[in-house]
Amino acid sequence: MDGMSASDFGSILLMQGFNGLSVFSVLVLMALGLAIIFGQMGVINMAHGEFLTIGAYTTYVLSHLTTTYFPHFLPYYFLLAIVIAFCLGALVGYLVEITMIRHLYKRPLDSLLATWGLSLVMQQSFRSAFGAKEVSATLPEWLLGSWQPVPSVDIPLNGLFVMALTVLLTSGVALFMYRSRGGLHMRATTQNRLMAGAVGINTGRVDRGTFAIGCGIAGVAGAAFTTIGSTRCAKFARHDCLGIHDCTDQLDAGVLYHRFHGQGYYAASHHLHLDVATGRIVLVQGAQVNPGCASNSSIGEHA
Amino acid sequence: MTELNKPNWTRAELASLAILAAIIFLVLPLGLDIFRLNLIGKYLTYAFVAVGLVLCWGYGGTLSLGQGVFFGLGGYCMAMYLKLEASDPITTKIQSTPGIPDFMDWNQITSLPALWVPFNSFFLAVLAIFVVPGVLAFIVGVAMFKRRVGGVYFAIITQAVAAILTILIIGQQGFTGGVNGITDLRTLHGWDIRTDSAKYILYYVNGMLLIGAILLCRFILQSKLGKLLLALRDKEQRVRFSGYDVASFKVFVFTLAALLAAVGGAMFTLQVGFMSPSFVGIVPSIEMVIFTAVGGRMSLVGAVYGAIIVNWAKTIFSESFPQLWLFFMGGLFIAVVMFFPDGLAGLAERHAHKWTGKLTAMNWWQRLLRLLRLNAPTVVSQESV
Repeated sequence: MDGMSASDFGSILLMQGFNGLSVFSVLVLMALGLAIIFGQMGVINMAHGEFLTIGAYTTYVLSHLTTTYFPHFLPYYFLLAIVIAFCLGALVGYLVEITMIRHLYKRPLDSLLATWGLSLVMQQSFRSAFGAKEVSATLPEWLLGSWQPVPSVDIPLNGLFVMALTVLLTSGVALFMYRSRGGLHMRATTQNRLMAGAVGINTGRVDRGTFAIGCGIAGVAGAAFTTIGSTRCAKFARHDCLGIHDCTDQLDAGVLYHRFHGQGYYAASHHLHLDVATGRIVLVQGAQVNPGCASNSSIGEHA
Repeated sequence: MTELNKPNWTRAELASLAILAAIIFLVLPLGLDIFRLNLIGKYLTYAFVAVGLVLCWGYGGTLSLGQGVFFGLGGYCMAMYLKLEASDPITTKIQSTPGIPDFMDWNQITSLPALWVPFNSFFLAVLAIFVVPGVLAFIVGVAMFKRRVGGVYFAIITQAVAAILTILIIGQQGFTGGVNGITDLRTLHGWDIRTDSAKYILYYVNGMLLIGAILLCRFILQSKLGKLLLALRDKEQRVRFSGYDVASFKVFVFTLAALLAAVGGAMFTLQVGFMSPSFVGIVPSIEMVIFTAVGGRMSLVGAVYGAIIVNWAKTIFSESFPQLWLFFMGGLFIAVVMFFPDGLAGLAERHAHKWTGKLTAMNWWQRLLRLLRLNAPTVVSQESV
């Protein structure tokens, strides 16, 4: 401690701040899909974490296939993985909306319970398909290094990548919501379903689209998580993923780490983070809830 | 009998309660060995939570996903008393500080924390079983309902409460026993709860308390308060504009459900012999909701069957096909919500209507007489021909 100069301290602060920011941006990415579904449709998707897991496992499977069959394709597969994760997440979300969610719009509490049931089924499916063991995706070279703006500061590239992805996706969603015809339909349906239907918007189709997009973004977040997971232990840990996804859920839906009984904590900082996040949930929700037009407030965007 | 025959008891209701009582007090004790009966006793402690949820969720329309909090607090209050009784200075003389619970000794705590001192007294411990969860539910209820937070938001906040309490219990290992909970409980006020006879007695006490809870809830539902609960579930604004203080009714019913859950938790500790955070958190709390949903969210008696059946299935599955359990549980959530929103009770009622629809016009012996009278002339006429 004695030998530490002010500039060392400054660079540590900078790197820690950057790490915090990159974890934060993964959380934002994870929360974004939920914010769309909850904010626009008023449906709390308790299975959101499982949609993240779809994206994460997609990346894992793709990296496995690439390293086995097309090793020279390794530098590029990750971009493809993001696209496929989006498509798979959206496809499953679309099917879930058709078979389940659309029958429950008038019963929000029931949709909460049904999606919880869905999350249990999906969890067990993943466990049966991939086993309970942690799996890791091989990351392309260009995500592994770090960038040194000054000699004492290391900024990991995957953190930068995730931050860029988050900024890109969030602004994309914002553009879509406020500048496109589809987004206009979406907002119209949220604000007044009957009237939106009356002016010729196919509200059922808008709902399906909204839900699918939300789930697709969850898939992308899952794929992005595999890079951040690698910063910590060079490994994409399924349980860590679940842990993180839960605390994301809880960031705007309050599902907190619903499986920590029997699995313990990973780190004290994680623990602290959960405590803080829980407190914030209560505060944010307490402050946000506006009974008359509760469905319009999208907590995720503020959290 | 005349008390029971008041017009507000229909024959079907009496019959369903009588059948439930017969199953709890006669059929199960005669048909099962003490190990299985003890398991049923455990399931019946969950039924307290399920019955409370019928009032709070089915009638009041307020879904709480944090009933495990109150179940756990009731259970912990009971467990703390039992633990102190089990840790007298003689049995714990090998500890570095004899006379305090073993897990405190493992966590380098050298004197009994102030939080635990009241639990030396049986009376205060029993009081705490009601007061601690009741006050917490009251505070949460007032804080939420007075600000008109309800529906999905309330459900999520109760879930956060469950998470906070679990983190607190696991984190404060020296005070709460951590993730293992409070184990190795032996006697209640000097009475050994581990013997078979004690298990029988506890089972019957539990059953009687449960029937009592159902009667209490039924009394409330029959009263004007029950009608108001339904009204505010269906048209909250209209009830408010009629001059009722909606928040107070919700606080009341939420607190009552919490108290019932606490009684269940205390009985759970007595029958199972330990209490741990795994009965407090988010997952157990949501599972408690499924008991009510399966049994029928509008049926007090149905909720008991729901608790028994789902837990029984859980035991069977985890004994024989552990990997199928989550599929079953998830499927149950989806199926109940999508296809049988009224649960087993709703199904039973729909099918019962098929025959009671024919039976209700007259009771069965009148019907029999009618049958005989109708048959008689034809027989005569055939003879005469």
